[in-house]
Amino acid sequence: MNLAIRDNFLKEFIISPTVISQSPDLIKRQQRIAAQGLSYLKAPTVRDEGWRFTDLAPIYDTDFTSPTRETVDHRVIKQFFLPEAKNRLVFINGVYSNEFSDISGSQLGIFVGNLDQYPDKVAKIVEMRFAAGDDCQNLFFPALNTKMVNDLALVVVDSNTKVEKPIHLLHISTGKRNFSNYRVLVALGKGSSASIFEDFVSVNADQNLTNAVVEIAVEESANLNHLKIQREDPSCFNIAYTNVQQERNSQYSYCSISTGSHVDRQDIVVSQIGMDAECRLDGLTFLSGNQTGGFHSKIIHDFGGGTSKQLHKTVVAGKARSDFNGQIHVRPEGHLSNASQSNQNLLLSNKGRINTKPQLEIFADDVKCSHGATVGQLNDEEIFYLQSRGIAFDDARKILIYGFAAEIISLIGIESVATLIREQVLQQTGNKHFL
Amino acid sequence: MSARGILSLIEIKGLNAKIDDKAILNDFELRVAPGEIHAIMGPNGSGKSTLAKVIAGHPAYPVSSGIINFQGVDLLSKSPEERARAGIFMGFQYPVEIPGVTNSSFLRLALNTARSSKGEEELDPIEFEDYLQDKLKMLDIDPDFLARSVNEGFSGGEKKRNEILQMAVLNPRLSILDETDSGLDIDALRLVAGGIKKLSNKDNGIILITHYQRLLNYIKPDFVHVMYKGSIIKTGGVDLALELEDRGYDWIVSD
Repeated sequence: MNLAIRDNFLKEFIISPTVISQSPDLIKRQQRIAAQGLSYLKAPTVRDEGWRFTDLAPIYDTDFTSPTRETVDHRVIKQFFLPEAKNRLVFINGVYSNEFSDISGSQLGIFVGNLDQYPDKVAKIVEMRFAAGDDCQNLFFPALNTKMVNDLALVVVDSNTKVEKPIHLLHISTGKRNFSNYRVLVALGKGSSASIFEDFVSVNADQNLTNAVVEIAVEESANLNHLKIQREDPSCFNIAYTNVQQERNSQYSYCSISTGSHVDRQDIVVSQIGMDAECRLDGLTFLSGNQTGGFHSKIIHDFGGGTSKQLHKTVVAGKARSDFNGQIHVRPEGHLSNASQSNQNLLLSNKGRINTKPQLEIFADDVKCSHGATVGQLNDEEIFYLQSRGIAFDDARKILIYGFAAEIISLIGIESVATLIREQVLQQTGNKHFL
Repeated sequence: MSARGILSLIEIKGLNAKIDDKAILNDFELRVAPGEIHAIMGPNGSGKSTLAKVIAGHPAYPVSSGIINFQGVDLLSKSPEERARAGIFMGFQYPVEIPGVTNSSFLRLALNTARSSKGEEELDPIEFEDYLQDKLKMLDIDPDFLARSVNEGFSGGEKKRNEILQMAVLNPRLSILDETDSGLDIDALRLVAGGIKKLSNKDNGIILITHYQRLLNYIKPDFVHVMYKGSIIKTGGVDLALELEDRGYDWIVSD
C-alpha cells in the first residue's frame, strides 16, 4: 500500500476547521479535543496490531468527498421501515432526515430525536456521555467521527421506563464516494428497558464510506436489546465503533449481522462498570467475493459477578477474508466473573481466509472463563445424509450453510428482521426451496 | 438372466470395496426380491455398515469391482441423490442434525425432488400436509416433530423414528436400515420396529443390518445372513438368528 496515500487520507477532512464551527455548542468541546488528537493520529494499516488482518487499502485508495445533500425516492426508503417500530430515526449519509424520521411514538419518559430540538435533561446527558471515553480521542476512526459529526441520533430513556416497541435507527448510504460520519447516543436510565435496531442500508450507492460511532450507557438494572444489521452495497465501506457502559445489574444483548460492503470493520467495547452486569454478544458475518470483514470485541469485567456470553459465526466464500478478535479482560476486582466465548467459522473455498484470535486476559483468580474457536468446512457426512434423501450435492451444501447461520438468526428478537435475514441468507446461499 | 434375477429388486455380484488397501467388502453377493426382508448380522468390523454406505453411494467407500443391479439400473454409476430418487433409502445409524431447517420443509423438499425427477407433479404445502398427516398417523408420531429442526436436539429414539418417518414419506423400493435398533430402549425399539413392519409390503424390500437378535423379535425376516470379513458366510432363517443369540459367532467363523 502506498503510505503517502494513507497519510493524506481524508486530510482535507481532518485539518478542516470549518466543521466544528458549524456544530452545536453541546458537542464542540469534545470535538476540539478529538481534533487535537487527530493531529498526531495516523490512519491504521496492516502494520498496526489490531488491523493486521483487516486491510483498509481499498478505502485509502478511494478519493472520497463530503456528502452532498442527496435525495432518495421515498418509496425506496419506505421499504426499509420496520413494521414493529414505534420510533424511527432516519439519517441519509450521516445527515438527519426530518422527512423520513418518525418520532411521534415518543411517550412520557422517552426521547428519540436529534440535536435540532431536545429538552434540558437530554442536553445534560449529551454533555456527560458524548465522546466520554478515551477511544474517541485515541482511536483514529472514532476521533475522526467525533470531529466530523454535527448531529446525533439520540435515544434517551428515563428511569424505570419500559419502551415496548423497538426503536429503528436507519442509516442510508447513497451517492458516489461519499464519506459519511454517523453518530448514535443511547442512554437508558435506571431500571428502564428498550430495544434498538440499527440498520445500515444503501440506495444507489457506489464506494461510499460510512464511519459510525455508537455510544451506549445502560444504567443500573436497565436492559437493552441491541440489534444491528449491516447490508450495504458490496462496493461500499463500513467502519463502526460501539462503546457500551454497563452499570450494576444491567443487561445488554447485542446481535450483529453483516452481509454487506466491501470492507466491514466493527469494533465493540463493553465495559461492565458495576457488579453483576450481564452481557451477550452474538454475531453472524457472511463474506464472499472480495469482501473483508473484521469483528473485534472487548469485554471488560471490571467488578465482580459479571457475566458475558459470546457466539460469533462467520461464513467465508470466494476470496473473502475474515478477522475475528475476541478480547475478554477480567480485572483483579472482577471476582466470580463468568465469561464464555465461541467463534465458529465456516470456510467454503480454497481462496478464502479466516483469522481468529481469542484473547483472554484474566487478573482475578476465582473466575470462570472459556473460549473456543473453530474453522471448518462443510461436513461430508452431513452432505451425504442429505444426498441420500435425494437432495442434490449443491443443494445439500446450501442447506447446511443455512443451518450453520440459523442459530444466530434464531436469536434475532424482532420477527420481521428475523424473516428478512432468513430470506437474505437463503437467497445468498441459493436455497430457493425454503423461501 | 434367470427367472429369479428378473424378479430381483437388487442383485449384488462380486462386490469389492477397499479403504486404504484394506478389503472391507470381499466378493460380496446378495439378492433381494420384492416383498422380502433380509437381516444381515455379524461381528463388529465385518463390513455391514460399509455395505449400506456402498449401496447408498457414499463417496468415501469406492468400489473396486462388482455389480449392483437395482431394478435393471446399474447403481454404481449413479450419484447418491440419483440412487435415492430411484428408490434406495438408507436409514442411518447416526442421523445428522440440520439446524434451522424444519422437519416438514425438509421432508417436502426430499419428496418433491424425487417426484419431479420422475416427472410427477410436486406437492404444494397443503397437499403435502395431508400426505404427511397420514404417515404420522400410521407411525403414531407426534405432529410436534414437524415444526422442529431436522434431528436437532432429538433423543436417540426420536432420531431413529424420524428416519422411519422419512422412509414412510419417500416410500422407497429398497430400504437398508443400518443398526436402526442400536441405542434404543425397549419402548423405542417397539415403536421403530412397528413402523418398519407397517412399511414393509409386497413391492418393497428391506435389509436390516443389526447386531442383536432382539429387533427380529418384532420383525420376522425371510432370510438371516451372517457377514464376516466382507462377505456372507452363512444364510438361514429366523432360527439362525436365535442360534447366534445363543452361541455367538465363533462357531460359524471357525468352521
